[in-house]
Amino acid sequence: MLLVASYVFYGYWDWRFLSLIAFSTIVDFIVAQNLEKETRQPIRQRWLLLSLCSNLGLLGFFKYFGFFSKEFAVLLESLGFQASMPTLNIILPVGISFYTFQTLAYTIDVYRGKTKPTNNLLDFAVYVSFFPQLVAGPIERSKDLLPQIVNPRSFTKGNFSEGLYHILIGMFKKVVIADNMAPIVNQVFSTPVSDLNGTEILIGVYAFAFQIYGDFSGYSSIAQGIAKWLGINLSWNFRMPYFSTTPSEFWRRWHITLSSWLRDYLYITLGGNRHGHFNTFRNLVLTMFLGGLWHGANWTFAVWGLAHGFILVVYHALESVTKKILIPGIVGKVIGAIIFFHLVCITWLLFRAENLTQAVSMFAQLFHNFSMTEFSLYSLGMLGFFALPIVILELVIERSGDMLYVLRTHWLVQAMIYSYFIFMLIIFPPLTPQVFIYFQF
Amino acid sequence: MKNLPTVAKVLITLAVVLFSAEALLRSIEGSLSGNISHVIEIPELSERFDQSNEPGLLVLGNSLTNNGIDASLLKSGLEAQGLAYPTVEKMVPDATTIWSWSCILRNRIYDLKNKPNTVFIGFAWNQLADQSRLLPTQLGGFFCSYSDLIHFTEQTEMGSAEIGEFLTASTFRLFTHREAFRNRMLGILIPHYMSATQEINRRMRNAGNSASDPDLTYRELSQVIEKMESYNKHVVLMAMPVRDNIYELDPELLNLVKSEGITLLDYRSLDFITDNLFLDEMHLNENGSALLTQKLVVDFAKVRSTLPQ
Repeated sequence: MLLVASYVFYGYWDWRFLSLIAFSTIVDFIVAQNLEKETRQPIRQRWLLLSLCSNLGLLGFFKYFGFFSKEFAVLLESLGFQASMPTLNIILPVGISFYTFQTLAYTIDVYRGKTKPTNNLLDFAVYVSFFPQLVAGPIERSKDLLPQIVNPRSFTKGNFSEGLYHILIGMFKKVVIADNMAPIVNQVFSTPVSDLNGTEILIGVYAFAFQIYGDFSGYSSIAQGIAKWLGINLSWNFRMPYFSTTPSEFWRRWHITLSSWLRDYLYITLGGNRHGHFNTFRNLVLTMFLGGLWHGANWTFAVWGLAHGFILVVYHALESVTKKILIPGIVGKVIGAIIFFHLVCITWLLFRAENLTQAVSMFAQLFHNFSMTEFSLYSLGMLGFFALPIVILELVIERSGDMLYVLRTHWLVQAMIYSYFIFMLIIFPPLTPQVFIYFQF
Repeated sequence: MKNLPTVAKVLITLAVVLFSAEALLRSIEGSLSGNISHVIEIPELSERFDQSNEPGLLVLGNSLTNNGIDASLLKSGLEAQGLAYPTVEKMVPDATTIWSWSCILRNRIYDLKNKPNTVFIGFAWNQLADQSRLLPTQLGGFFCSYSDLIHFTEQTEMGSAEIGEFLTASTFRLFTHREAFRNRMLGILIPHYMSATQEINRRMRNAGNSASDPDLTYRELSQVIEKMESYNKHVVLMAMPVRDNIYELDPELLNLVKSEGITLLDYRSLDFITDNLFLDEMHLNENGSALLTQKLVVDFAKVRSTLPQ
């Protein structure tokens, strides 16, 4: 029933792309079965290669063909050749970046002997297409999700209350925070840079920081909540990332399932930190570069990834120095978090900009003219009204060390928090609804 | 309550809070805004037509018509011309188009024993077209019934999200009035909220307008005209004056007017309606309204004899 529901859910958008998810499912099911049976290493490697080529081939074609053929044409023309590249209007299937990584993780884990393959194609198909997390993650590992699919599930009142919490806070973050920040962000990024001052760009970037956080973590929460109501635990994908003081900490808190996937299947495969400083830094930059490119076929995403790679390198390199100069205790943490938040915001400029030219221009303009305009006051007010309450709530959760702290409070406190969420959802949905940002990936 | 599980206590409390808010809101609805009081008085206004056995005039439209036509001046002006209409009422809720107006007529006017003899419909731009803005909250919350929803799904491209919005608005007043709450609260708390929002809306509208205009159709208006004619009542269209963003009359609309033989009063470019008679880019002030109403009196007196009695 879960499989039917998941396929109906996915096919409702475009039934033709069901063939892709079915193809990925069948290929990886067969590959895993053969990896388990086969003992000869060269043959096992070929089976793994089949999985890699199928999944990355799908991803590469649907996501990157247009981009790379356009860039290749530009390169040829810059060298004086007449380029006539085939133009294909390729629709990017929703969720392809997520489910291909999920199935790849499965086959790689089977190859490494970390997990046993399932013999039931239908169970595996549910693992690949499980609808709450199909289109925008979390990217689940087979060792976590598959046993929950295979084994009988029970619905408890704990499941219901936890699911309710995830769904409500997820909808609040997406509809109230993210979608109300969107018009401010769109206004800033659609205005010619010369018409903006530093304050407006800075506040616009803050608004985007909360838009993308609310949008993506909101979706992940809703997915967690719905899965919980179905008796399945999905992984946490966000843990208050804007309280991070270092990039390593940030990537343990932001899009956790993607960063751990990149760590386990790319960074460690490249050698991780096992071969000296230079190779460690190279591996960090390469991993983040490819992680950036995963987000989309645009140089802005690639440069965004590179920027995070370099930030990681710099923090690693300065670690021994900064430990000596850091202010201890809570004050040090707050200062560290504020500094790092602003570094992240600068990289969000790259992520959101239409192209590198705009990103560079906005970055340069960021340091000019910090007068408060009408628009900046308005935007600051909107940020304070919509984003500040969730920052306060998450600060309380952070200090408690318990992600489900709200569920441990007195029932009246829970009722007040839920009432706040619901009233805000009813009264303050945005002027126009916005699609989930991460659906485009 | 003591022995209930925590989640049950939370849900019961939530339900109590929501229903209390809903009940409170229903009791103070009329005082939320001028527009909502316009909406709430519509049933009462339609009753006035029904209770009178004498001819009546209904002025239907949105804020353009509300600001543009003075009902009491219209009544007294027509009396001075020897045309007695004891009941002259305006049903002019803000930001409405043909979809809201047709619901008002279907639910409040068609079933009246004593319907108004003439319905003036004031419009501008594409407000009479099937492609005009469809606002499910407004329709479900204020003007339309569940049977109208079936009509919309057949006549328009209303999707599941819009249907959900329609049904939620028709059930919960909190949801219906959310825009009024939002604007009032944020207007107080956020600096420059109104001007910034208007600018953002203007940019979004311009971005939408830069896409190619669809070919306009008038099926809904055509059905309204047909229905009114079946009752031997008439529709008079008024193209309202605006200061900025001057509009052309769509050829399809003109064809419909000609084929149905209805009266179209074109007030877009009247010499005596000058820029200083406007409150803003589209709404007339009191003086402008008086002048336009006088013009309507004169024009209606002229055409009245040509209308079926």
